[in-house]
Amino acid sequence: MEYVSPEGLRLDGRRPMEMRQLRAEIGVVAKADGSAMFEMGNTKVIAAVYGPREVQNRSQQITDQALVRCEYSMANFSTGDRMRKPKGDRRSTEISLVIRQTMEACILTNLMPRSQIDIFVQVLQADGGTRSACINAATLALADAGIPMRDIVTSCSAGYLNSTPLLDLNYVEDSAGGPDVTVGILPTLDKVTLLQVGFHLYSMWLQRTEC
Amino acid sequence: MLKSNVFNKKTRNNRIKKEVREVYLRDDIWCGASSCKTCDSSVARLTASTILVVDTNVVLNQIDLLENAAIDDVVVLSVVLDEVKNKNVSVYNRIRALCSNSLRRFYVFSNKFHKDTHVEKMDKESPNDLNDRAIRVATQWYQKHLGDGTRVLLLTNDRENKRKATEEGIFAETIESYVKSLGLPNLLDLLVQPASEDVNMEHVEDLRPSKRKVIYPEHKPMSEITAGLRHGIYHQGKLRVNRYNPFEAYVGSESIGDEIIIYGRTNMNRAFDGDIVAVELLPQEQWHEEKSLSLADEDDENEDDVHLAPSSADDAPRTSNLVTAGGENTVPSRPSGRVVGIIKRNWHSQCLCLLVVVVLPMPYLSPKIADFLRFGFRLGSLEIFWIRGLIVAVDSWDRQSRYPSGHYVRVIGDIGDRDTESEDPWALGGGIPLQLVEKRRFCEMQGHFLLKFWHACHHCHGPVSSEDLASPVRLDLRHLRVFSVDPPGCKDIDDALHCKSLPNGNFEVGVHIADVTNFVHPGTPLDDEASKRGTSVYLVERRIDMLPKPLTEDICSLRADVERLAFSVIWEMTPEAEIISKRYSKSVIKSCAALSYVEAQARMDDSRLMDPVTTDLRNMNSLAKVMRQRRIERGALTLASAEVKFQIDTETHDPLDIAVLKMLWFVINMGVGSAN
Amino acid sequence: MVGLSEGEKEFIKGGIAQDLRSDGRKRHTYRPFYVETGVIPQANGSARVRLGATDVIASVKAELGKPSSLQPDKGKVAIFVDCSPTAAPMFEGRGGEDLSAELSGALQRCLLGSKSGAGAGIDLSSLVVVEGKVCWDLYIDGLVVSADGNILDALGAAIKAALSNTGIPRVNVAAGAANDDQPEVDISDEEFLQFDTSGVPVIVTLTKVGKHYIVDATSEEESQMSSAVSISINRQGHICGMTKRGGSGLDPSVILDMVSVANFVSRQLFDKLDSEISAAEADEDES
Repeated sequence: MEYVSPEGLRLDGRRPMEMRQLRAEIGVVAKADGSAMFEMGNTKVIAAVYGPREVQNRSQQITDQALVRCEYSMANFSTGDRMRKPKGDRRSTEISLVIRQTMEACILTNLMPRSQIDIFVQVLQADGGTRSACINAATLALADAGIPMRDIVTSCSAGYLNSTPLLDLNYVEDSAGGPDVTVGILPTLDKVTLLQVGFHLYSMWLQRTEC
Repeated sequence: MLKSNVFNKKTRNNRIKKEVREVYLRDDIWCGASSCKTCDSSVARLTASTILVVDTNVVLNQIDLLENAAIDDVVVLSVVLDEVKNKNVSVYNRIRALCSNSLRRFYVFSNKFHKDTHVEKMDKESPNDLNDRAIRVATQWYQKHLGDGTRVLLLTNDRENKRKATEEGIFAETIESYVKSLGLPNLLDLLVQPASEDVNMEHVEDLRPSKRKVIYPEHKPMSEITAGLRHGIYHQGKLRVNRYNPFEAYVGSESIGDEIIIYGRTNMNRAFDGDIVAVELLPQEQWHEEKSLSLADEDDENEDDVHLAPSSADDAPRTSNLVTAGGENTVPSRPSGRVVGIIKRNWHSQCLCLLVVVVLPMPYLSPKIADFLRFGFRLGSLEIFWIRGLIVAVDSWDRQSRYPSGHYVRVIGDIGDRDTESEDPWALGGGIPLQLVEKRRFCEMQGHFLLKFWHACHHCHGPVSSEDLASPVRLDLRHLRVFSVDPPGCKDIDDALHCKSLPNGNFEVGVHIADVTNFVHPGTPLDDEASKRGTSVYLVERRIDMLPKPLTEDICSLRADVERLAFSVIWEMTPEAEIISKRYSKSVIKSCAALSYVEAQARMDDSRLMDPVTTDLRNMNSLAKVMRQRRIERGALTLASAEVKFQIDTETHDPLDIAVLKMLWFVINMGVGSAN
Repeated sequence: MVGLSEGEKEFIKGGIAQDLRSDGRKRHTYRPFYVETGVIPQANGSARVRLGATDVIASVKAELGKPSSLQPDKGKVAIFVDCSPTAAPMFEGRGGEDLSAELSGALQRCLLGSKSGAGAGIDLSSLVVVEGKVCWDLYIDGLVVSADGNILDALGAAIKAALSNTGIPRVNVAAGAANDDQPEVDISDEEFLQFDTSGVPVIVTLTKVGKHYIVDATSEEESQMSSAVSISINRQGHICGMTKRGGSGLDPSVILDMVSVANFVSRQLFDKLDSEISAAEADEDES
């Protein structure tokens, strides 16, 4: 399968180092303390943040910092084939964990002891790069909620197909089975907070992704 | 850089799935013409004042023409490339090679991502119309973009497309008229002849319907075939033409678990070797007419052969093998059938075929001559006719024509010409990177033909010619009781042996190896090719031979009851296996039995059997035992190599199991070992 | 989970009694609502409806299936609702399942009619491809993104909008294969089957707070309700379905009174919804 034509164009007309079109909107869920919708091409996610608020389950309370929780869910209609999956399957749990850890690292949790921050991420449409889109949406929602953070986290995926490094894989490219990385970066601090590598990665260079 | 002109394309409502793909339209796709001021000229390839835009069918059909250096300054649109890729990968690879060849001026224009040439599907528009429109839009853009200084010419053979293009003010021509306008007559021969069933030609045909009679039954439509396959009326399988008899083919059918025999060209219904075909079984009473039918068919062929030289009796391989075919027919009849439809053609992927055509002494070759199924050429009158090696690509085969029509790609040369025979088989495709399998097939075919040339040139009727017999260096060992022992089902019997008790109590032991060098001369393409391959490679269900099959399995195979050329080593041994004398010689042998390991073992074990072959086997075995014992005493190392056999799933052709053949540690290996 | 003080509760109740609700509406006025169609391009039809701060998405996906043996001449429609935790933290994990099931059930009753398929809002026989062999199965998925009361009405409107946005590819059955159990089908990319959604009812929920009942309650108002009746009414003013929620009983005469109010409100709702849908579709075509 040819993912990059000899003319240097991808299947959707992008060049290898181009991202898809980004769109973001803040305050989409009125009842939440902070919320954001984030689109990367056809990937569309909504994040809502509730908190900081009282810890619901006392046993989970942490005395010197805030408790950060995260739940990732996919709408039934978000994928090409309609899926009827049980909530909390392994993939969702894993992504929830990844988002939680990434966000926890940039929230100044020590400023909000004995409180709880809930991040809920809902995928409306999945077209590759949901992980990155979720992290970007969650950051925006946290910022919207006015939660103190060290920096804004930005995330993007990249892959390697047809001996070409490609930025921001869409679903077709993502399911091609090549190596892929998801990177989360704190741009002003210039630090990498998330790095997930799937498949073999030879000496592929990691490119900076800054949204 | 990025035009934020995003829109979603609803593509392929394949079954239920609705796919949505983004398309990013760009303004940074350059036109590739060096005269253009606005575009980035570093990628420019097109220099001439006339720029050609080709449509999909022109690429698909006239790729041989495009490869000719006379055609240049061609814009290949990405929509054309995509369509070509879907229809024929090997043509796609060839056009891609042209586009990346820096000597040629072919430029790929990604029209579907250019903001001005992207077209969206309109209501009720078929994919073909959409592509045609995209091509016209792109052509028009080019003309507008480059201005009046450049003429942009659309080459299309589709009438409708050409008409619409002219209406829209685009210069459009058919490929024929363009080539004619170039004034290069030799290019015309490279043109592909349109099929006579083509819509464009239909009315021409109608004028003289009486001249064309329908020879072949119509192929059934695909939907009927799939339905028939599901109901078990039709059977699907790959057609394999009998290598020795072009009028007989087999279709290995999984649905009935047996091979279906197809006799005669009418029943084969325009299918080529390697095509996936749908077969309908003939009524059982017709199964018995096999032999007469095939012969009758052949007689009929001969009457009809006007433009071909009648096949003569000295067409040795065929006549001799017809007998074999006849012999097989006496076994209980197998189902026979006829082809009702071709599910997948082999010819496109194969794309090239090597032909030998008998040509009347005329200075020009007619490109239309093509006869595939029969290699009928006259041997006796080489002086009168020219035989030329041609590469011909098949274009079509319609119902009215007995033979497929094609166009020639290139002439290899005259027979006997040193150039013909020494042409590197890997380069025969004209520098085209043929895929490995194709290369293999190609070389095999070439080998096949070279052998035929060889036969022709030597006027001999079989592998053993009278010259060979008369040769003083060749020992006539046909009187010896030679036999071979090999794994079951072995076709390429490369060694045989004999063991004779001498009056003085000693034994004469001989090992005979097939004399391949007699057929494969050093420096010939066959030899070069074989040395490149090094050895035969055994894959799960396929074997890549080092030498062409006709050589290994027939001419050089030391089969039973046929005379074969061999290279022999003969020892005289004492019963204690001490070698007294040895001699080496070229020879002619006639094997009396081709045994399998199991068979040989069974013979030796059956104490009632006292026939000469069994006695020889026993003697040889005891000699071998002594020799092995001695070797082990001297500290020989036994390298056991297991021979494996794959069990193959009948439906998926996936290997299911690997069985290690019980290999008999038999004398042969010892014997060959000592000979080496 | 709305934490309200006694004063706030009184304020809400008092406002309703005086026909001036806390957001300035009258008892029988809807909040402004917005319809957006085609929000999920991967689905065959989709719509997003925002009713004040309530935000729902409905999508229609069609799959080829086999009709049930009892109704060989009808396709199948199933409705599923999912409450996203983004709408409220209480929907986290399995927390939203009860409400989801309740909403799915209510929608099924209000829009699809009886089990036999009679009285369905859309013509189920138009979903049949080959009688008894092949039909379209419609999967309607609702997702509650943001909840501020009256989710059911919003979902009903979203489903109606999504259905009118739905295009199902036309299916051609190969000739001669019609007798097979699983006939081969071809899908044409050009023609689409559109639904006539004029028969799809709207849902009007009347929430009883104190002595009065109101339409389109916010979540604060819902927290003060004693009972609620959801009535689905079609264009002709016929009742297609009815669901009662909430603990306290209702006098039959009140129910009749509610029906007539619902009937009156539904007409305004229909007009508003139809104009919103056509505006949304025009919007989508433009972009």
